[in-house]
Amino acid sequence: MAEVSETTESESPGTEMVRQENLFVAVLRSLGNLVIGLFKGIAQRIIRFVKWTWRGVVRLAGFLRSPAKNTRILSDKFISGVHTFRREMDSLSSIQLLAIIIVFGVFLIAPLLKVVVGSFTIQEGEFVILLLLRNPVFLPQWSPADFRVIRPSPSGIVEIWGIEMGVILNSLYVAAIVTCIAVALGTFFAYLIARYEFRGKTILRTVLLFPMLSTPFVGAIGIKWFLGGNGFLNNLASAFFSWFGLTWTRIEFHGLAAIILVQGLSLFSLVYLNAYSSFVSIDPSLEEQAENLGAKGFTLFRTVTLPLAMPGIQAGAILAFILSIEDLGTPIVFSEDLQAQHCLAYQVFINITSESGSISPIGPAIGMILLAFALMGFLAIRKYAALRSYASGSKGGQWNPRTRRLSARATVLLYLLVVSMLFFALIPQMSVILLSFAEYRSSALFPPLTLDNFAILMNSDIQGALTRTLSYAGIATIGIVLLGVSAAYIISRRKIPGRTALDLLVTSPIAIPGTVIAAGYFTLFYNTPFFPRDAPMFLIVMSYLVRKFPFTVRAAYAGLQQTPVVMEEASLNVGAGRNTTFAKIVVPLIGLSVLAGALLSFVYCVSEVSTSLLLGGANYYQAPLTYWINVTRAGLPPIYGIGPAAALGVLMMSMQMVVITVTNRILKTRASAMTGI
Amino acid sequence: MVSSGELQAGRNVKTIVIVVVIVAVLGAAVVIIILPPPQVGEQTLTILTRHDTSIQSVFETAFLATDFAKQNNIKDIMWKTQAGSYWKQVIDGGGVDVLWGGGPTLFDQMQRDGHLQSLNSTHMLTVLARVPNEIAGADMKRNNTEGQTIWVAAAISSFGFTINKAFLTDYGLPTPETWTDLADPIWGSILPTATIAMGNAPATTSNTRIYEIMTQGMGWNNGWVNLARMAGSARLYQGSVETQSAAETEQVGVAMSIDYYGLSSQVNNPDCEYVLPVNQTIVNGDPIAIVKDTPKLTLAEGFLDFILSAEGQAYWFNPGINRMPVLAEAFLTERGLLHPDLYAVFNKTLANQGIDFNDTLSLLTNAAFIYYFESVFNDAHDKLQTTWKAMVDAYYATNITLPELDMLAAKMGTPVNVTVDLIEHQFTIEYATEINNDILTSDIFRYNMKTLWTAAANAQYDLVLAELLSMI
Amino acid sequence: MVTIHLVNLRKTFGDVIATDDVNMDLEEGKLTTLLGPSGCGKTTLLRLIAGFYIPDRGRIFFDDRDVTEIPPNKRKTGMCFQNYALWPHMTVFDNISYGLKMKRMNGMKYTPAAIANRVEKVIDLVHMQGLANRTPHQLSGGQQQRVALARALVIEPDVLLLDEPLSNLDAKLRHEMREEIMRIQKELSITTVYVTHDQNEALSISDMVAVMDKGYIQQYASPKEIYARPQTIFVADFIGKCTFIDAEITSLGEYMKARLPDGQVVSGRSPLEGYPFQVGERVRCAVRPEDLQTERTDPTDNEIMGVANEVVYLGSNLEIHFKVGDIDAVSLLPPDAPASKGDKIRLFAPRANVMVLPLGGVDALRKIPGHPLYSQPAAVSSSAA
Repeated sequence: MAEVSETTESESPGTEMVRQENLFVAVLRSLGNLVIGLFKGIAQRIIRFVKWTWRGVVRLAGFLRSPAKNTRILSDKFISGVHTFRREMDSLSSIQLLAIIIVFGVFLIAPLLKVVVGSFTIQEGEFVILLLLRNPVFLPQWSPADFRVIRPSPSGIVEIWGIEMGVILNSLYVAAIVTCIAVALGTFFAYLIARYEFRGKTILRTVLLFPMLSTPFVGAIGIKWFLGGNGFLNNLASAFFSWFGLTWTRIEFHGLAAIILVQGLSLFSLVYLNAYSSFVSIDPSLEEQAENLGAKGFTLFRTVTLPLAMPGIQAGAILAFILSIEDLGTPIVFSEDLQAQHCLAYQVFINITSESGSISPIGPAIGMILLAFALMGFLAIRKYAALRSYASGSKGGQWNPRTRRLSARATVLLYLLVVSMLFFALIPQMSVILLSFAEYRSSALFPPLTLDNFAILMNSDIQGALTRTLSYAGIATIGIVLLGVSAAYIISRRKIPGRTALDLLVTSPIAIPGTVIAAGYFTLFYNTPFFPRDAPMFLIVMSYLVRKFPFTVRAAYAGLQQTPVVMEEASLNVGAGRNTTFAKIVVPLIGLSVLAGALLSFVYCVSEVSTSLLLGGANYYQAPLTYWINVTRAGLPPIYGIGPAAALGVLMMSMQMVVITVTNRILKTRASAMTGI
Repeated sequence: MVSSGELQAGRNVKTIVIVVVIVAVLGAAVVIIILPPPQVGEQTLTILTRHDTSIQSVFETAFLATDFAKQNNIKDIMWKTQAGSYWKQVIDGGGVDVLWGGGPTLFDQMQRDGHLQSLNSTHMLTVLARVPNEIAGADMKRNNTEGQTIWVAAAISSFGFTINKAFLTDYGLPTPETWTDLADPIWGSILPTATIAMGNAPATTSNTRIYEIMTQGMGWNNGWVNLARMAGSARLYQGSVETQSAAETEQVGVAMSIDYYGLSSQVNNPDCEYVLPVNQTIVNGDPIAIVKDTPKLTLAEGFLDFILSAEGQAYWFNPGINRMPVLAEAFLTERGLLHPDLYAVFNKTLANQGIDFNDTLSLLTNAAFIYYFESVFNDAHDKLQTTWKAMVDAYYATNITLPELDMLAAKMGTPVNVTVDLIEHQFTIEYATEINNDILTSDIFRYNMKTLWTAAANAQYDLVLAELLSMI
Repeated sequence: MVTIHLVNLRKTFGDVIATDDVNMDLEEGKLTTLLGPSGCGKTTLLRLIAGFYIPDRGRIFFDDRDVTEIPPNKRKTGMCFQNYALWPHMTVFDNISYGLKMKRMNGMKYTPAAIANRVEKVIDLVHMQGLANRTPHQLSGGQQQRVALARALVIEPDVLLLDEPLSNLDAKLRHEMREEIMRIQKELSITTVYVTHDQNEALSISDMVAVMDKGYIQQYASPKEIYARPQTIFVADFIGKCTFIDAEITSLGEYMKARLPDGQVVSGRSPLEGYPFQVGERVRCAVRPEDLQTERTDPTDNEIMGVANEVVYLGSNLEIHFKVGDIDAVSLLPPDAPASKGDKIRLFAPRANVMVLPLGGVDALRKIPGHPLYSQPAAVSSSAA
């Protein structure tokens, strides 16, 4: 050892040491690496998927080459699989598994297949998928005119647009940018909440979740009102700046740029939850070691903390990607801009019904493309969800967090920054609240306020719809809890073949667009015992059950991960059967997580749109609340109209707010389960 | 070592679970079976409607309180509210008695598909006698080939636009009075900010009617050119509510409106005003009909009787409904006398000599019409706007004269040619009639035609732009 | 009380062989320890016996009953987990009585009075009186450990399985609990399997010890045998301290002769009976530090010369680290022995105490006829000496 140091001192520093590079450059470089890494990761995943499909094809070919021998091998594997199955499962679990498969098969797979089967067949001599490719609007395309992102107008309003690149590329690049925004914001907030203490932190934590509150139908109107060139915010800004004698340039977002803005600001909550989970499960000793070796501040963050939190961040990022690419609500808001119509979700939506009310094969064909992207991202998430805890596991992730207190001045600066960000993020929600109190909207700076809109809550139809919705959601939630906990338990503890497939099945509803399922329900089940002409009630409940299933499953799964298997082994060891163990040991220990999951599923059921709308139309005496919000919105004041619809929206938001706050408290560090992955 | 005193009989969990499950299943079965059966003799009338909930609740309460309803033990009205494209499916599913609201075209389609009952019973003939055959040149009744009435208008609407005065003042735009006014280049002078809101045809039947007014009133080609000029200055919204909203929230200065939306905005937003285009509008009858061979014929007829009575018609005046009645007598009822403002609008509507509207033509070309509209105005909007803006800017920069602008605009808006199966077709009335049925029934055909039209439109706009650039 | 027969057991996880070629009989009423470093497969083996794993190959018998496929709740084993696995939502009483409540015999179950009685008895047995109503987080580590033990015992299992039960306790408590466990085990005379990595523990409490490394059982014998006659280099190294000297066999016989790299010749004996040594074979000679003496006691003693490079005073002994040529060696001498750093020393080791061991570890064992591992073709042999 002594020899080495002597040599170094005598030589010039040039061989072993190098000047420290500029911090700015270093930051840029690592940010760049981050982004590149993310996309490399996606690319790798795609390549791996392609390779995997290729291997499957090769294997299939190999199989076909000597079918006899291979069939025997296959049947042997099958038989041993059956043995494992019999050993691991007992009668109760088998019933549970069967129930899950039946429910999902009938109410998810069957409608999906019905809808997409048309796209893969030949209709009138045309292979439908090829039809799409002949339409130039789908293919990647751009012209110099498309790159005018900022378009000043003689009216004094500056319009900000996106870049038109053809439907498929539009969806992809919008989702990519939205993901970047969501990741940046989400990680920033997550790190803030995880590592700093400051006044009002508890309130901020809850408020950060509010962008997740859904505001069907009225949110669209509210956003337009707030963001329009002559809308609320621009008017406010204009009035504000004219006080100082300055002129405010009115800005208006259009097309894809508007979609990026609105989606990015609402999806960051998802990344926030996942990133937060990751940050708090980092073993502090890992960071302490790094500090001990000389890293600190931003370097520490960049080199140790951030990489360790990557699995959670990436899981959140991929979820944001999927939800962005599938989102129909935001493109509809901006659908008067042609660009906004040119995205996959919207194209599915307008092409799904034909004039005769049956299902056009074109919409589902487009839906297939959408589904392919969503499923790819979805498969990627599952990999990360499994890896999420780099450093937890041994102690269940419950260390004392390393937090620092912010000085008063820093807190003020922080709030300035955060409040402005949150302000923009909560535009949909705030606009709905304001709409509910507004008598009408006009060019006046501030609308006249009134409480009259809330009279709609006295309306017997609405009250009926509310009670009905709560009961539908309640029944669906009971079913979700029963089946969901079973599913989570089977997936995490029973080592049967096909476990992964089951996991995919029960979490897949996140990736499947609601319009497709709704259309499937209508064509498959209308006028059958599941959906008698005037009674969509049963199907509405089943649709809730299937579509909002993943949240409870994921929450239960999170609870199971925190419950050491050894607890169950100890129970088995002293003679308790699997079912007794489940009832007496597992359920009490995961009960709280399941409760959180059930609450989430419940609240998401209440705010479900696609199937509620379509099925509710069959008999509005059985229609849920979201259907009525739409009906109210389309009606005319004073009884109906946008104000009262906004009042209903506020009601729905309050319900969601309560549930989300409670659930966040319960799940604490595992709150990322709220996002369903 | 277990002594006997330590043991007792154990419960078998399995049996317990099985018992619980059986009890649950039996319980559920009992509940379902013992669901309260419909009271003997209680009747429900089922109405498929496009009218919104305010109308539904008001008329339901009123109707159920009538003597007729009480005598016939009608206790409830079941409303079905599916979108027009689902009507066929719903009616085929059975159980629907009355069809109400949705515009003549929809009802003519229902007649074409054989869903409407002939209203030739004695009762109905009395009722129909109250209703004028025509108002302001528009049919209030539709007869089948045997001369029997199969639908009758229960309300009338007119079509115009809603202006937002604040917007117009802010940007120095004039108050338009006719559709042709909206084709003026001044409406494109602040592009890319749009000044007009137009509804995308497939998404709104009322706005479609407005466009048909133009193509029938000005002549087919001129109508399309006018529409193109308007669309160039406009943003296309995906529904009549959204279109109306755009004017209310000052996103545009003018929005295509059916009268009750316009009147509603006028009442609720002091900036808004509903304008009836002089001599360029029509009156539309909003039909009511009975489903063919419904078992509840008498009840249905009773409902129509109520709707087409002066008292029943007076409910159109309720706040939040704001419709024009088909029976002028409604204004003379007790409630009618409370609404002199609406009476004024009614009279103005009647006095407005509109154009001669051909409902049959509308029916024969409707599908082709709306998808053509979408293809060349919605799906090709970017290029349309670019071209129109260039023209308008050139005009205001005095690089081209007004006649030159008109000439270019005519080239821009003239119906396009497409090549189908090696034959070139321009979108004429004849061609539209020819392909209408295929567009309706074949998704593939429709999709292909739309793709072709959009491509042709884009090319046409590019050509005109090139020509413009060569002129300056 | 049952005898456990393990026949040809093998357990893999994916590509990793956790344990292989296990052939052992664990006598009834005896305490057998599975001893080895981390990752040697001892816990895997324990869990195989408990029923939490199904072996890839081989059978497990309790007496004559083949229990290989029987699920863990039907095997009548009582396991005491390393982290105790006490159910946090139940009191001590509930934790212990849980297993009793489950028990069914001919459809009959225990009366509540019987349960209370039995639980009380076992609480007395583990000296936890008065703490029956506490919850686990109100107990110290030692107390939790005793509750875990009580829970396993109250159901009167045929086999008691203990997975490193003392590793989380401090030294004094460990000693105490060790005594308790031994006492209880003797009292109930229950077949016990004990897993640990602590050789002192293993040697002091066991009737039989199975030393494991990398998934294979290197030697299964009494503690005395293990110490005095280790059969592989690993066992010799793992148990106690040993000086190892590489050598080459020059002659065979009851006492073999082997030549060291620096030319010295030692003579010793192999504890491995039946191993076919050959002249010229490379071997390793192992000698315990206490067998290296400063005085010659017998003319046949080996003489070993070296240079002392470190002398450590241990109070009771003097530990001398010296070099024989390139080889490091250790010797334990009385505390007043005359030796200091740099001295040339001469030490004597009786022939009988020099153990000649073949290289090759487990593979060497395979060559011995009659050995349980004999003629078992190594699957994918991952072992090395």
